[in-house]
Amino acid sequence: VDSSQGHDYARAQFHAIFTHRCEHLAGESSKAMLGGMTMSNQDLIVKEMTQIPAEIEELWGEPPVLPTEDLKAYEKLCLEVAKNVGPTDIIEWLWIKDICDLSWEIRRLRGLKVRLVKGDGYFNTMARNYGRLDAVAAAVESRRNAVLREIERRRESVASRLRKASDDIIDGEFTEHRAPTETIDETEGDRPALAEANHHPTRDAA
Amino acid sequence: MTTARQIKANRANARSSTGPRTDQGKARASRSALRHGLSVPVLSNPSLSKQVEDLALKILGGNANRVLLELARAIAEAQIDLDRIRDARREVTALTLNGKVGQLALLDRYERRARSRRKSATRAFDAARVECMLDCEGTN
Repeated sequence: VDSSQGHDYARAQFHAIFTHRCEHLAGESSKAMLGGMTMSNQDLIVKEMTQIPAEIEELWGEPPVLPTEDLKAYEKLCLEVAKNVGPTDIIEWLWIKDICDLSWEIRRLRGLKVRLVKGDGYFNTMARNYGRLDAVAAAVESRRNAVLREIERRRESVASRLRKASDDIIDGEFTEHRAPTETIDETEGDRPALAEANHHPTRDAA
Repeated sequence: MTTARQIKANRANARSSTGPRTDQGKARASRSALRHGLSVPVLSNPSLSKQVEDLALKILGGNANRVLLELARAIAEAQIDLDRIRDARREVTALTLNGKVGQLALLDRYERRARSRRKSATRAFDAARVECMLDCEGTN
């Protein structure tokens, strides 16, 4: 085996460490993100749940539903949003509540505006408030969008920072592992069985 | 319309008043200027402080890091503030149906601030948590 094969082996080893490290970090991340929840395999549980967990409902407090509105429709909305977003910790569960409440409010304000435009007798008294109502509705929509952006930013940010930090760690280890490549030929039989190393095209060709 | 005689009598009566005398009356009068209480800091209320602490521990999820605990408290404080605003909003929404949209708009200012505080606190918490995780990773 020539020295280029030793280098290929080192590359394969680097790839294996990289993969292992990323998986390991991702595992740590998901464990940490569970927060106070006593759940494992969070995604699966959230996708299959038929109602919001009691501990989360307690955390959420009173629903923003008026006596004239449909509480079951609100609960269904919360469940669907939670299933789609797949919250990974308490903070994200609080954001789910935000999105649901704001969506509910947007729908309510739109309904009010429609009734205003239709000239419902009772709501004629609100005609002067149409502009204000419109402004409130716009503000609520803006807040909902901000929460959605924040969820996106948070997930991307955590993932990208973990990847960068992981890369830094791996680069450090790669340098350490490259040093003994000169002696690879002698110690080849003692190497760990890395799938990536065994299937590397250059190495297989040799 | 109030007559000059009535105004004079009202002023004389007011001068002779020394304010509420019973504890119940004093407690009620102390809340005269209180509209919604949203400008009062959460931590000045013992009951809300307890809620902040409980929520912070839930956010922390068993992690014993002191820096993370402080940041989790900041998130919890902003969240409890948002909960207060949400409750006030629910009450005002019922009034909105009677044409008092202006009151709903007034709450926006408080909500915007609380949301901004929660966002900053969450970002700081996430950054610290990732660092903490990587420190642990580095020591393993």
